[in-house]
Amino acid sequence: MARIGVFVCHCGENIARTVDIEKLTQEISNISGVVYSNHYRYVCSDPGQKMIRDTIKEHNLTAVVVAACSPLMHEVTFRRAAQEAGLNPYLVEMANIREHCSWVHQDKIRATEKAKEIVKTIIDKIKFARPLQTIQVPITRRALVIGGGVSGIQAALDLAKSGFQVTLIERQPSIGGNMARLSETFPTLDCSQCILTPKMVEVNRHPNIELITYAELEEVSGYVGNFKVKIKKKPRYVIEDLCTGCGDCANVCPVSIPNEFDRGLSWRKAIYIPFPQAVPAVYTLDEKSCLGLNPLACERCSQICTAKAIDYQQKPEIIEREVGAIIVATGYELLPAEQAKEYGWGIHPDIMDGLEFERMLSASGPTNGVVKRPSDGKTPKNVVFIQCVGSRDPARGVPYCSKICCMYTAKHALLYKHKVHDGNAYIFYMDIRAGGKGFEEFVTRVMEEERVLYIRGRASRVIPLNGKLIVQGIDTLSNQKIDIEADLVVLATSIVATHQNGLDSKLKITADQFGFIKEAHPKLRPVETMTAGVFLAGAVQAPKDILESVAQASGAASKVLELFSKGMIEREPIVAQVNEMTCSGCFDCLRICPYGAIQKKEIKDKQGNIIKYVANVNDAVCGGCGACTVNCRNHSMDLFGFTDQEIYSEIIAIA
Amino acid sequence: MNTQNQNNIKIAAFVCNWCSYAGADSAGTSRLQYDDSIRIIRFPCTGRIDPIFIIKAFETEVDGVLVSGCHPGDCHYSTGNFYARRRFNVFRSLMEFIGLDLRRLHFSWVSAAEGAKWANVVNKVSSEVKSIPNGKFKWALTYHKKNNGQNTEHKNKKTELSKKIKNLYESFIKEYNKPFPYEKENTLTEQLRTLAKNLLVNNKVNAIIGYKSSNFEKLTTPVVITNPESVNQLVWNRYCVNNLTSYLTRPKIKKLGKIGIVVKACDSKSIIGLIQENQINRDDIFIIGIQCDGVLENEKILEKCLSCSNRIPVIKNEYIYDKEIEIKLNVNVIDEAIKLIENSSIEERWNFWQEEFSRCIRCYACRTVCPFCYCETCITDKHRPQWISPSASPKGNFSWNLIRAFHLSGRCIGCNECSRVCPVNIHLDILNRKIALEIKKEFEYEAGVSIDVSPPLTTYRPDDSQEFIL
Amino acid sequence: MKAFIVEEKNILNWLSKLLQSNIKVYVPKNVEDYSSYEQIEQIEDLVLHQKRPEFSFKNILFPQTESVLEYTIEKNWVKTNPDLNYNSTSEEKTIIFGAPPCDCASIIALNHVFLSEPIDIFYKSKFDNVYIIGLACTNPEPECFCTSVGSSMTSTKGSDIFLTPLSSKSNSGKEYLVEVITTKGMELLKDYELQVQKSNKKITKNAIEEIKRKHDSKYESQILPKKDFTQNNQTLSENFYSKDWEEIGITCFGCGVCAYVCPTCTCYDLVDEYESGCFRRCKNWDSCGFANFTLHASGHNPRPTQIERYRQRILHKFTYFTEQVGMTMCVGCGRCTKFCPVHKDIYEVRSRWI
Repeated sequence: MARIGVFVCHCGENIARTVDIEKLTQEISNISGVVYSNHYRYVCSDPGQKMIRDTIKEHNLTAVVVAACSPLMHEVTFRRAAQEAGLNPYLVEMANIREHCSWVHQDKIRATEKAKEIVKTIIDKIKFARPLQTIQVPITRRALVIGGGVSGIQAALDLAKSGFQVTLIERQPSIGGNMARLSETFPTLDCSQCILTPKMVEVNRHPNIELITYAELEEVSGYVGNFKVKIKKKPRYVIEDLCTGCGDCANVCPVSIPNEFDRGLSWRKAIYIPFPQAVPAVYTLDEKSCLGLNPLACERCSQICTAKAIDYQQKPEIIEREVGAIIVATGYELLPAEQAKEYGWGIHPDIMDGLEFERMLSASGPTNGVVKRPSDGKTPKNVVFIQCVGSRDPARGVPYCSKICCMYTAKHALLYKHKVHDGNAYIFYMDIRAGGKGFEEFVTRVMEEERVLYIRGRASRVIPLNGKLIVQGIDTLSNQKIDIEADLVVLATSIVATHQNGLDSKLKITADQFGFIKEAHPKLRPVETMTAGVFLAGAVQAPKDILESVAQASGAASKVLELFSKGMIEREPIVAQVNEMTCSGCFDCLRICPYGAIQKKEIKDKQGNIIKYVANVNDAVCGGCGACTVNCRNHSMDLFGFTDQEIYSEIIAIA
Repeated sequence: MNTQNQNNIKIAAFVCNWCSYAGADSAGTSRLQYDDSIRIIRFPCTGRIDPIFIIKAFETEVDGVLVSGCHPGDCHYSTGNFYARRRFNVFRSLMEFIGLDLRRLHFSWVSAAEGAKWANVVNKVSSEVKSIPNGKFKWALTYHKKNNGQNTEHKNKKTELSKKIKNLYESFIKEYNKPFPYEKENTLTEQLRTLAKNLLVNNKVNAIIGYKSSNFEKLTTPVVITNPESVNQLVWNRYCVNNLTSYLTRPKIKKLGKIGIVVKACDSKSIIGLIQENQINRDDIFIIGIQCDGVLENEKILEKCLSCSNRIPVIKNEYIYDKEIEIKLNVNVIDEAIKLIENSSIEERWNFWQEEFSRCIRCYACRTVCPFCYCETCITDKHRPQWISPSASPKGNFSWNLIRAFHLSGRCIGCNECSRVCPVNIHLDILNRKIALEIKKEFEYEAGVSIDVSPPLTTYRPDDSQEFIL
Repeated sequence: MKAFIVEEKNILNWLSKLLQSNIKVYVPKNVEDYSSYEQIEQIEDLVLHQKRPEFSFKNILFPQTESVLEYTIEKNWVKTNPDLNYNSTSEEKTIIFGAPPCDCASIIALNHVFLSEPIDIFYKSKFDNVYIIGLACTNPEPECFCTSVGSSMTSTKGSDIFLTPLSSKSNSGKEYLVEVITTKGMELLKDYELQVQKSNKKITKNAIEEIKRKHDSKYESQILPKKDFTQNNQTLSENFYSKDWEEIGITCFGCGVCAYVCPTCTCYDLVDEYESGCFRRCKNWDSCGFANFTLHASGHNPRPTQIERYRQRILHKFTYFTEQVGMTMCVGCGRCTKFCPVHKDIYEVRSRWI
């Protein structure tokens, strides 16, 4: 038999003004199961809590109801108080007679009646409450970082330096990501390679970091603290440990194709390293470009390699790792050329996107930092930069702002002016968004000191004519149509999400409509995802500059450290539970579980024959939403804290 | 109108913890005044709110129900309210169809910040409930000891609507009950026996579920054949009405191993559903489709056969047929009946269904013949808590039939076995078909067509219709 | 006990007298979609020689749902409903008129179950007030096999008064042979006088038998051929482990139709319910075909599949009950066959082991 204690709070005058506390307390005492009811001015105060603790012991209460404010306010307070008195905290419920009653009604008689019904509903619910224990989940203290750009590098280094093992995987032959392509960074004009390369080398050398390049995530199972991941390492046909990076093989390779790293501005061989500072400094044989692997067509690379590092027989390799946390840092891509056709991009060689221009500006780039037109190698005297190509343009691109283009375009113009002193730079812009430390000053400097002409308006199209590019546009400030004869056009195309190859569904994280991964809360949990143990760093979440990416990477790393610093994870015991007797194994629950917490379980007879398959909930993963319980037609699925029996009692109590 | 009653109405509000509960808190914090008829029950998520809760609330004689949760995309659990939105869409149209005054049932999205919206929603809902002139709401009549618990208000009080529907059915059957070209029955039976024998002799299957002749001339009865010598028991003719796929989920049948099963085109759809719901393995069954020109019971063609548009089984290993059948009537008497009901007033609809369900004797023949009622223990047999009263009393009957219809939503393939076997002829076919039409309209889903498409209530689209949500 | 010939109009007059004195009268009645025993308010509502109702009058004596206990809980205190009591004065006098012999015969089986110790007071309170007036069967159905269970179209078993229509020979209107079977039937005639044909001589036993034989022979051919299901019950028991049960039971779906339409099935379940503040213990019909019927709390089920359950149903009806009571717990009405979703034929199953 339940022994329920009810504590009615006056909340000063807040409740007492509209609810007759004396009468309420009196009437509650007549409800079956209630052995104690009392009221107090502020139950949440120390004396109020003491009253609860003392009464639990004195009256040997099996459950406590506090009729006061919203549980969102003080449930934790009263549960802790009960726990201190030895009562399971989940045997405490709050009846909300302040926000839901006294504050929103005025008629004292009716408000008192309503308050009584609210309290009765909770009393009837708590009669069926069960003591629950927080769920403890052990942790594997190794992290997986997906993506070897600056975010992934930063996160991996932070974790490694804290003494935890990290596996870093990168899809490309080298780490470095987009940052490795950049010339100099805004607003300080640090050389991008010069600040990134030491970090790349450090990753490669750090004893706590296992670097797996040319690899992708194949499969993830498990849950926070206990993921099992399968990594697919693509064959690079070069034995990494043997390759000395001498480059003899590339010299003899007869195949030349555009180098992706240089955005097609230079050539590479079928066996190549993407750029001289690549980490690892190991050559990769690109099977698509090679004259033939099966059957072997030329074999020149293998013949010349003195280290005997070439292995044509390599197969894709699956590497399995157990990790406790995953950081997703897969970065961004630029809008595909097809989507900016009105500016002739992809059609005319002298129309390029920002990254191409970065390569051209880079001292280690295809032109060694000399600005010249790809079409004829001449120095461009008039360069037009067009911002917001695809960004803030739901009709042709994406509705969001790509955030970094204002800054890098200003930087491009500045670097161009530094390299071509008599050149003219024009920038078509919608607005300048230069929010950031030193950003506004930087743009002002470009405008005022470098004399770059900013034109507020949109270029409408770019027409190649007689070796020039006619940029048609409008200056919306002077309302004049403007035609500029340009030698080179640089488009600040929008930043779009990386093609994820189903990474989101493998990790059971959700992407927004643009493919960027959603954070758990846009303000308060920006580096976490809805899946516990999976974190975000960098532009995988939204367009970001280097500074933000690095900061978020460190943030994600610290979240992982928070997880790893505990031996166990504690979770709320509000989880679903299966009645295996009556489960029929339709697995509708499995289909809809947003957490992937449900798995199939075999039920066997004494002889070991499988009788049936039933659903099984992994406590460590279940988020406690209860969506599965409703899809379960015969209610074989129930949710602790909100059980069928509790809800039934509440509904019955209303009438 | 009884004003006394109007002031004492009670509305149950099922709200999610993260948005609407907090929204109600926020209304309180802002001291917004609203109607005091509302009684809040807190759920973690609208995804936890089962329509059965709403039915129970009405049973306990609340006057209205409000369900409220997070705006789409704001769900604390990311997708709970998307699933809820689909469920309530279906449930609401079911309630509308059975004649519940929709002023009693509301849904809303109220975020934690929208205190003012919460107050407005509550006031709107309570004023709508109060605008219903009938005083205290009776969901279904209560138990009467004097009448052995039977609902005497509705029992045997045939409504005009029910007479119209009866006439409609009779006229259709009369018009279309023309002799079909059944002369190929013997040939098909012979082919079936040969195939069955082959399968059994070559151990391709361990048993065959088919039909055999009964003692009575115009009936057949299901048979399970395990011995190749007995294949001559198998028959195929116009009296093979049963949907045999219901046997596939029975443990005793499953134990036999690989099963060959004779299916008509309509029955074959249920196999799709059973595979989708992990009840059978495709590899464990050998599907023998058979040409069906419509089946008869009591010398009357079944309604489903009139509207049968695809006479070739959708899933099969073998198809026994003579030649393509030309007869495609494609007249749907059930759809006509649905229109008839939809065009009736709320009261007519309510009284019609009350009378229908008042006859229910809870023999559960509908449940046992249904291929999709495979639950190990049916919700109505669970008593802790007792969501559905097991007594053949008005309330229990009403809830039972509605819940079963809801549980079949998006799954029922329209074999109409339930209404065929009902000893008191409750129009379950109409109820199930109505939901199927609704699902097709809202979610572009048809049950029993493709294994690979997720059933409509186990998936969602971010842009699902939500016009009904405040 | 007593027999005489009565004109139809006189029977109807007598019945209207009963109706006027506030006695409830139930008669077979067609209600659009199906038929059952329904209460009539006036004699005009009566249609004689109706099709046999799809449900027997079992529901009147043994309601499908019956409240046997009601209570409320008040502050740790249980209060039962004092108005809920069952004795012979708590129920109204009820006449079931025009029931076919098979339905009437079911009373014997019901009485054996409910009126032997311990007596079921709920049944008894109703039975004490129920008068059954049987009417010889003129509408047999193809599933009927009453002759095989020791009954016939004119069997008076279970009736208080039994009517057999005479083949009309004169223009004086239809006449009936009225047999008074029980003292209860006698009382009814005493209290409400029935006008008897004056011209009538005393009817001899032979004459009665002759009338009945004639009636029976007229309809016998319309039902299933007569076999003897009342004897050789051991044959059934001996075949308890027969392979046939597997073949028969495997296609049984396990619904409750057969039991619910059966005039003699008496199993019930006790269920606790709650409604608007009141708790209620209900006696609800149950069926041995349901999987839950023998399910133990432990999860064990001694009759795990429909095979055992269907066998139990047949053996109970034709062996266990016969051994104890001396009659089959089946009146041969064939309703279970008629309503079975898979057209399971009880006659065919029983015939396997004669």
